[in-house]
Amino acid sequence: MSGLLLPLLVVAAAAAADSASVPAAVTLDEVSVTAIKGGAGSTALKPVAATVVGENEIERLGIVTMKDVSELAPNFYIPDYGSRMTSSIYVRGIGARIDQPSVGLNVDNVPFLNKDNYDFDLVDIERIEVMRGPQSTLYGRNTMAGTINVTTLSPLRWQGVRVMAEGGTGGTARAAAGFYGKLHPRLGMALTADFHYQNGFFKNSYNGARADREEGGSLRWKTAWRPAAATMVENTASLTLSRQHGYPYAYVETGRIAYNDTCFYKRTGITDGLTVKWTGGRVSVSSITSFQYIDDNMTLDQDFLPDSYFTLTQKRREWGLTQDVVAQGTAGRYTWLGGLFGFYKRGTMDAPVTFKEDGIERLIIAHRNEMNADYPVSWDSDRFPLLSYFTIPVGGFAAYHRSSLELGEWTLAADLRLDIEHTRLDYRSVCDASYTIHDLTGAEPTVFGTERVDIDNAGSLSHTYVQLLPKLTVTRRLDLPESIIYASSSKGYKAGGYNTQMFSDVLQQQVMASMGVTSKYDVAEIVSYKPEQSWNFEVGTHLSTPSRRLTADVALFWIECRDQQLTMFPDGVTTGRIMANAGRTRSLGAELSASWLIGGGLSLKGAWGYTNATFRQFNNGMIDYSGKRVPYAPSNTLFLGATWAKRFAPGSLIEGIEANINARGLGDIYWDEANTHRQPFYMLAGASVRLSRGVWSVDLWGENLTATRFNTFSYVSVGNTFLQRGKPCRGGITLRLTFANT
Amino acid sequence: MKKFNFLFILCAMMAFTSCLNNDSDDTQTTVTRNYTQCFNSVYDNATGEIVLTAQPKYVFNIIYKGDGSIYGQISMTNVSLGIDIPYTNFDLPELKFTLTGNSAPVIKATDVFPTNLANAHAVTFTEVRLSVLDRVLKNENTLQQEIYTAYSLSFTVNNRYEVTVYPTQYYYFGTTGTVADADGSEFSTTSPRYAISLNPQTKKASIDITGAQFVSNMPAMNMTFGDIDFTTTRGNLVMEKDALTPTINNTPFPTFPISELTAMLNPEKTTGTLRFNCTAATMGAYKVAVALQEEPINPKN
Repeated sequence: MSGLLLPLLVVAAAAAADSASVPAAVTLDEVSVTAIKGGAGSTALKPVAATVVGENEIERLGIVTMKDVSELAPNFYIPDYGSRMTSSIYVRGIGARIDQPSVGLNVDNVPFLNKDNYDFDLVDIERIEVMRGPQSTLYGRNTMAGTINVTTLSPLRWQGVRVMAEGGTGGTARAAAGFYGKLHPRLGMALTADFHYQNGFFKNSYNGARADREEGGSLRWKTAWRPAAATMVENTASLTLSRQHGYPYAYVETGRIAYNDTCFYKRTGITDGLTVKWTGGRVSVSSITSFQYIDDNMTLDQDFLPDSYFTLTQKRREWGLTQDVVAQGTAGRYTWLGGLFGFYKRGTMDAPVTFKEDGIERLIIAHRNEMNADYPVSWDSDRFPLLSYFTIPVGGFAAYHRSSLELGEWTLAADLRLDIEHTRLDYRSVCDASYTIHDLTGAEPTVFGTERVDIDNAGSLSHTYVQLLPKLTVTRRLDLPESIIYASSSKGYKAGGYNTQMFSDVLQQQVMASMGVTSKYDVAEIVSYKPEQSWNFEVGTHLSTPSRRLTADVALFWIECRDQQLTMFPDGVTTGRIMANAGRTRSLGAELSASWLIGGGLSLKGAWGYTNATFRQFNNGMIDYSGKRVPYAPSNTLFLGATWAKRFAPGSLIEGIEANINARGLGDIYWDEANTHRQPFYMLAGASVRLSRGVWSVDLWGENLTATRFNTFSYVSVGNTFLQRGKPCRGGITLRLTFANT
Repeated sequence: MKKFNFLFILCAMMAFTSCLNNDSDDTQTTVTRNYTQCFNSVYDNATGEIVLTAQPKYVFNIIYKGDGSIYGQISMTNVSLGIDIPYTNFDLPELKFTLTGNSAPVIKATDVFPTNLANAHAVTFTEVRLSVLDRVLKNENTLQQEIYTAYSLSFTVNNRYEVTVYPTQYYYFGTTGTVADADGSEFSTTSPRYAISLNPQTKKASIDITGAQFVSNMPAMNMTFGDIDFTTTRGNLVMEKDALTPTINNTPFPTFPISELTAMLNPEKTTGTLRFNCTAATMGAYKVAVALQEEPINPKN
């Protein structure tokens, strides 16, 4: 990382000596990834289903993490459960809970390689853009369902000091500060920091501790420099820290959260992204370089019961590099874009599963002794670990191109991307334990023998994936301002990989094999999952009235997905989740979003998405799920919001007031492939009132004001069903001080 | 599970086997196979007696000709045709293999004279039959894929001594069918693997079943049926045991008592049958019948 920061320091020193004047503000689109790859101009003129959430709306709706963006875009859902590691995102019925993501995330042009890093505090965010539908041709791997582009506030756009302090129910506290300044008319720097704490809303009844207590923070240093009129350089370095002290999973049978073993998740993330853009007469060239590092530890009471079955730890360290070079230009009615992308990441992981006394007794010994009461076994210790060590290097290269041709009101565009990726998994699994066989056939019990369980397996798996990703788009401008209709067909792709959690099951099978149970799992078969591919067909329109007071977006889509990767919990007594290629799925749906500036300070906004996502073909060898709904993806998302704002004369006691009410709806969500458990559709109401005067503003806010009870997640493991409830009614107050340089 | 065409294995072994007998010229290549884990069952059709003679050694020189044909040259040492007949060595001439589709290559020859005797026509191999089946199977201990070759060798000497060569270890697959005594319900599986070990000195056999499963809800277990008496007949091997207690991982399992066990192996047809009753304490009583075959039939094998 220092290799990227040092040049910036040198640049800063050099620029300070240059006294040439430049505009004080820099247009946002000049450096955002959307502009780099999608072209400048409003997204309303682009043939893509996109939702943009601006800075004011981010503050108004209290968006502090990526999960708060859920439902604002139609068919876009990020459930709030588990830890910050499980950033599951579902778009149009496509999503992933572990391993590879279906939705890409770019923050200040940096493509986040690891989904575990997606959930971070959003501080001083200028804009969040959610693009739905495959973006694979331009953004590459793991953007099969869409991309999220986050742009942070630029110091060339705004200068001053921003301070925020917030307190709320659940023992929630947040604080943030940002310092934005120009060292030179063409060089700006910003330093932001934030801290958050949540005591929690749910209690672990086993020990009385809060099951969702967490704290964390972040630092961000952003540099924006315009060394010449045609050149823009931007670097964003960030450090994020997160610590969560539990998981609020309740056992359905009792309705309570009660587990005895330690659960936590802690994460340190470091990213640095450098964007350099040069704009010539008709050609521009951009370079985006990034370094990413994540160090996290997830430790779970895997059974989430007061019993001592087993615990799981997953400690990972991963670093990655990306490099993207994009060139684009126009020649009359012809516009072109071409790029080269490369990445490499390398991760190591320690993932021990520790069997404890209840797990040994009930999962290993009980069934064995039931079959042979005359020669029962006892384990020689009250716990033993199944150790697993992994090294996972992944590298890839891609070349992509877009050509578009304007023919009057029509625009035809064709994209193509060639993506090559190689992944390897080096593994080592170890177990060293023993058990005693007793002989009860005689007058007195005797020891028949002792058996050692001595396992030490090592190996390496590797795959190379090659993908050709095409896209065709037809657009027609309408006679209304910023209005188009479009049709597109595109191919999406999500990389295959390795399910490391399955190794504990492989080891468990080998432990059972030492007791005479036939070993079932073949490592290569059970831990590998194939790439997922989709074809997306979409028609849509962006409409605006002549006054631009009323805008609407409509999209209809049809997605055929092959080898969809689904998270499943195997039947019986296995320990971890697995990824399975589920055969084929189909998603059909519609999206509608609209905003209306009524007047008199009143505006309305709404977004509705419907998805019918079903298995066309999925038989796991025992049950045929064809025709069933795809689990975890909601069939409906709904957002309704009304805002009223009024300004008073400067110097008044209150110079501004803004009131907002909103409702978010979600559901149905099925929790299993058999569609036997579901969360019905539910609505959550929220509201906020902002009072402002001069540099300060105060927000009073509330969420889930109707105290709706709902579940955000449910799963079955070790034969038990668990769920996580949604957060209850809550509220708070936020104070902001904004000192802008004039 | 994989079954390789013998020809392919020949080519592979020519390239990689370290025990190659590189007797190669421009037109042919020779690969040597040793078959020592075996014993002979000798039927004297003059007296009707059967004796088992241990530790014969067979060497198969497989000759791949330039014209695409394959020949086998069999050398045998330490071969006895009877209790009072001294051990003798025989070298047979090259005999041609017949390749038929995916079946194992077979030599069938008549009136073959050994080439190593002073009096070339003192002994006549009235009939000679050899088949070689290569299989790639998963070793349940190492979980690695390994080559297991099944040889089927029989010959008749001087039209009197009918010799069937049995391996000391058979690997069988097949369809295991179970009928419950209680309600007649049936269960069938092709997953289990049967390794039959034969001791010619003690005339005892043991059967190691990998993935034994008699009902659908029974976990597949690795069971051993030990101390089974066996005899050989003219061309067959028969096993019988009235009752036994199976072991799993060397531990007796009295809860799965086995009774009325019978088995017959036919080496020439490379098939066999196995029948037994199991009266499991927790699962009820079942009659089990297995149609054994040396060729794998289930991809999981």
